[in-house]
Amino acid sequence: MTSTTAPSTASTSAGSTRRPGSGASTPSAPSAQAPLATHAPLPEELEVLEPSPDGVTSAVMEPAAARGASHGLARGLGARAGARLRSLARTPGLVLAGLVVLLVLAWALVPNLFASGDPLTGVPADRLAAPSAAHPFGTDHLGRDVYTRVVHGTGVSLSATAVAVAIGLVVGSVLGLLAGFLRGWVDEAIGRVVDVLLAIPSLLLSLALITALGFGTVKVAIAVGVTSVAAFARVMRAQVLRTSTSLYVEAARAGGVRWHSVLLRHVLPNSAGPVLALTALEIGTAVLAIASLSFLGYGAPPPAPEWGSLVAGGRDYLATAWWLTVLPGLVIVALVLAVNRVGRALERTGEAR
Amino acid sequence: MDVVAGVLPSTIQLAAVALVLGVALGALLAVATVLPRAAWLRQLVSTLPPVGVALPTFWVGLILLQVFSFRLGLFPAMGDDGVASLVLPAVTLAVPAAAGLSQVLSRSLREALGEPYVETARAKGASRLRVQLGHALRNAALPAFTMLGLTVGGLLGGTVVTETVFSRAGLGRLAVTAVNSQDIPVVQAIVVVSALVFVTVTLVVDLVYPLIDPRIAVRAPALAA
Amino acid sequence: MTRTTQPPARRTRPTTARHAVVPAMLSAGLLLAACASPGTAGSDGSGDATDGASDGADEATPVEGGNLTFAITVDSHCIDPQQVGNNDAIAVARQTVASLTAQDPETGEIVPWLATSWESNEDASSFTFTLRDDATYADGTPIDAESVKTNFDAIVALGAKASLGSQYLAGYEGTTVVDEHTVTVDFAAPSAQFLQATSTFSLGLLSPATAQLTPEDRCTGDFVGSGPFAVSSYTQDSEIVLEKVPDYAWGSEANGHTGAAYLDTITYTVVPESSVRTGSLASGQIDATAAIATVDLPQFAGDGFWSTYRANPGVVFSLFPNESSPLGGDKAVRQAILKGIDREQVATTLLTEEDQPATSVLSRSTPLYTDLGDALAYDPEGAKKILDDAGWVEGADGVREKDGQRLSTTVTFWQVPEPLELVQQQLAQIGVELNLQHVTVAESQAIKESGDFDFDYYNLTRSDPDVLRLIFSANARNVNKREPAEVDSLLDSSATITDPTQRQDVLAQAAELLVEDAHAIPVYELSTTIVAADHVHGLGFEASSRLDFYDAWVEGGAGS
Repeated sequence: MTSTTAPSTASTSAGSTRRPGSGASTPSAPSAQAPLATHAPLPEELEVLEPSPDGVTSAVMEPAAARGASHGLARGLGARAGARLRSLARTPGLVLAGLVVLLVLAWALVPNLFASGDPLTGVPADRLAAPSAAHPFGTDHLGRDVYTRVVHGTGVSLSATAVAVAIGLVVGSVLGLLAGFLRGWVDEAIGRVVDVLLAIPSLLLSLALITALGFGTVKVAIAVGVTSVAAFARVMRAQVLRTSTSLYVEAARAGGVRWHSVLLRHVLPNSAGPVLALTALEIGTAVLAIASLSFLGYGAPPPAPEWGSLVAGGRDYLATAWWLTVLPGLVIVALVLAVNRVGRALERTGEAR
Repeated sequence: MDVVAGVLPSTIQLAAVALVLGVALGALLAVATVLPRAAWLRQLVSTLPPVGVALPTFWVGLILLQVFSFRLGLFPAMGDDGVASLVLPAVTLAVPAAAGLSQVLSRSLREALGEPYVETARAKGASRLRVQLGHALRNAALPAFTMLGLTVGGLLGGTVVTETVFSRAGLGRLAVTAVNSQDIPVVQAIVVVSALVFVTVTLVVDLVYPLIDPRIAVRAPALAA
Repeated sequence: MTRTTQPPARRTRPTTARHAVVPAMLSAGLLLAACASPGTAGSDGSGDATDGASDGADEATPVEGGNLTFAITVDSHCIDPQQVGNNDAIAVARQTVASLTAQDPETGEIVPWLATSWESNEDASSFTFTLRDDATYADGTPIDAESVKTNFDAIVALGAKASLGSQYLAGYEGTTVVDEHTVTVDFAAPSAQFLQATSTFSLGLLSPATAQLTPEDRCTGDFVGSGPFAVSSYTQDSEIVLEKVPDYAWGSEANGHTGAAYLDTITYTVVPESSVRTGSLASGQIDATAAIATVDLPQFAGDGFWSTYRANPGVVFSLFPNESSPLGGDKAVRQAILKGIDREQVATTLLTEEDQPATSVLSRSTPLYTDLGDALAYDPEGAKKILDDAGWVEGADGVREKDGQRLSTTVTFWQVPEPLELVQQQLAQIGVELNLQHVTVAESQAIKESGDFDFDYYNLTRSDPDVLRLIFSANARNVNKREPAEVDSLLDSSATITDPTQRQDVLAQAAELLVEDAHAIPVYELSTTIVAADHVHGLGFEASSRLDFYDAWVEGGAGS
């Protein structure tokens, strides 16, 4: 389905599939299990849009990445800030994406500033009015202003997204950390769980969880969150494996630094980049998944204006009132597009590190 | 399980058509991101896959219904029979698959174009088109091929929404009805079946991969060493 | 009978008046062997309008053969006529069984079907039917007195599974086989509704072999009926195919012919999405449906389509409080909700011009209906006053509170949500929060049985006012889960009165009490609109607004 796998897959498996076996540069990390990691260290990883002079192989890359993690870090900071500004100016798309994200966040935080009307009460006499100055998104079957409902529905939809991504991030990262750090049977066990999670199409997995949990926004969020655990676990594990076998970590260990200090001081900070990038991509995925589930009727009951259920509510009026489905849907598309754009940018900066 | 088996053919038919459509569309898009000489055209085409990935499937289905079924009256809105009734749901389902595939494909296509053998081919006088389609695409397709399992899994998940929107009988709609009626055994059966499909497809891909790309057998150990 | 499937949004538009609804006096027992000729047209009466828009169906000569594809909205996983209660399932089940009697859709008269004549005793507690001697079940078994007994005994044995039939047979003492073609059905107490009940699909006859099957097997279509069609295939949630019974030759006098059905097959396609039904009908993928949303109806006005409208008799769409729950048991809350609903606004906003807001617990097309419109007028100020007086004061978020409890209650339903969304909006004005819990048909059944709900919501179609007693009496279904009260004696006695005038009087008093104490909170009247392509003819309603495919045919026969 739309979502859960698509965006992240597109970027993650690109790395791994491109050079099969490149994951082997981190000993004991089978390539199939650590796709993101394999392309994470590429300094010049290119976005889909820009053609790249390629030909670099990961074998060449690997030492560079390890270096970057230790002494290359300081060197790059100042230069990178300037470069980032310059590249920002060259990417109006990214700026626009950032603005969209900010606007939607503002809708979620202070909806009344953007739409002062009542999202729940309409004027039945004004029902099904086409978009106009008074009702930019038109009105629904009960005469409620659709724009107001979209704005006021942002809070619910985004907090569900936040819960979902937080679950994936926290649970996935902890699992990945344990697997990568402890290795052995823990790694094996967690690896199996992750494999199972990956084998089930995410939307079906969410449905199965909803059957067990019941309906409602929070439950939908949990069901979606669980589907992203696997992705986070894999990325985190790969990062841990990579950093914990690097020279400086081994040196720290040899020097008697306790394992949790190693984890906190070296491993976690170095994993942050790819995980952050994945988080951004997973936000887009989660928005889509949550909208799908609330479209199917598993989210908040009416009259709550959840995004997915707004579109769902309009589908009985396809022939007569296009705005009920088209406009709220466009808002979802715009946000996901923007978040994914920001995510890809983060991914590149993460890689550049 | 009987119930699941009963609706499976309809879903397989839909997913298969969507897969073919998705692959074709994905390949077309990917080629279109490198092929045209005009940079603006390449730029334009390359904005499509990210958009495709951002579209909610249920929304795409509704928009297609609205435009092609209601406004233009081109395709029927429902049904399990006939090719015409398959068009809209299959396109709906194919959009995310095509978008995902084309992202991977155009990346590897660009990489392939940088490989020495492409230079060689060019030097030997092969035309630009021939090089891009004949040599590069074939090699670039291999990585995308490994995504087949995920793509098929995505398609199965997508049937949940697509079959609901188009009122088609199938695995996805059965899942929705089962969830609504808290029919846990049916939900479990659907999950198991879809996981089996994923595992099978992935296995087949793994087995077939070395056959169609002999380099793998040689190269992978070399890299690992 | 039964609860309806057709959600609100799909009421509507008039047309052909092949069937007018006339509140006929049908006290059972008094109408002996009535014979009515199914007259052609003539519209008179409630709820039914004529605009001659289309159809023309009845003038043409019927053609045999062909298939008619009909869209239904939901598959409730059961098509056994003796068990089903949902309108879509009934649209299928009705065609598979014949009944002892039929009810003329225009006059409301009970006319012969499998029984050629009948009589009842003075107090309507014993009914004797004389069966025609040539009818058989679809498996060839003769329809004799013994098999009628088997059927009624089996329905009583089904108990709650036969949610409607077992109520019609409440007080059943037994069936006596007088001779091969004569049976007597006895009741412990007067049961004036029984004669009309024998015309419903719920008491339709199934082959004795079917009585041996489990209720579950019967649900999946494993039964053998007595009607003009038999189940050919049933794919859950997808489609149901009925095929005609070629030897059927006992059409009732309420129909247009007596031989086998014209159609070879009827294909019922389950299409849950409203927009897809509209699109499918427009593109010719289906031939007809009774579930086109109100907003989409104008596109089918003329231009290759015809439609026919009928107001459903019976109990209107209402909120039914569960009085064993804290808020449902609070009379002030119930009364305030009753006054806080603007029924006119629901009808004008969401329904069509022909549709009516509720003016009583019974719809106006129900026999012996009495108008209580004044008691159901929109009175928000009155509602607020009742709540103020009862100590419910407005809280910070606009919802009233009393002793720390918010005036927030939940209605459970499975129909389309629009009318309740509007009601929810209206009740918010008087400080009542109504939460909408949308469930599946199956779930709503389970919730009803568990009793774990505040308000239930549905309607019940039946062309006999006894439906009032059936739902509300503390001695019958008792939807309110309340203690017996004054109203029960009125309801119960209504079943024993055979004089129409007296019965109407008692029923009116009962309805008044039900509304006064808000045991029922009526909202609007259900109606059914069939919309069909022009090549479809003769598809219509039986007296209880059930779809009747027996007289239906398609132009070109097999060519459709």
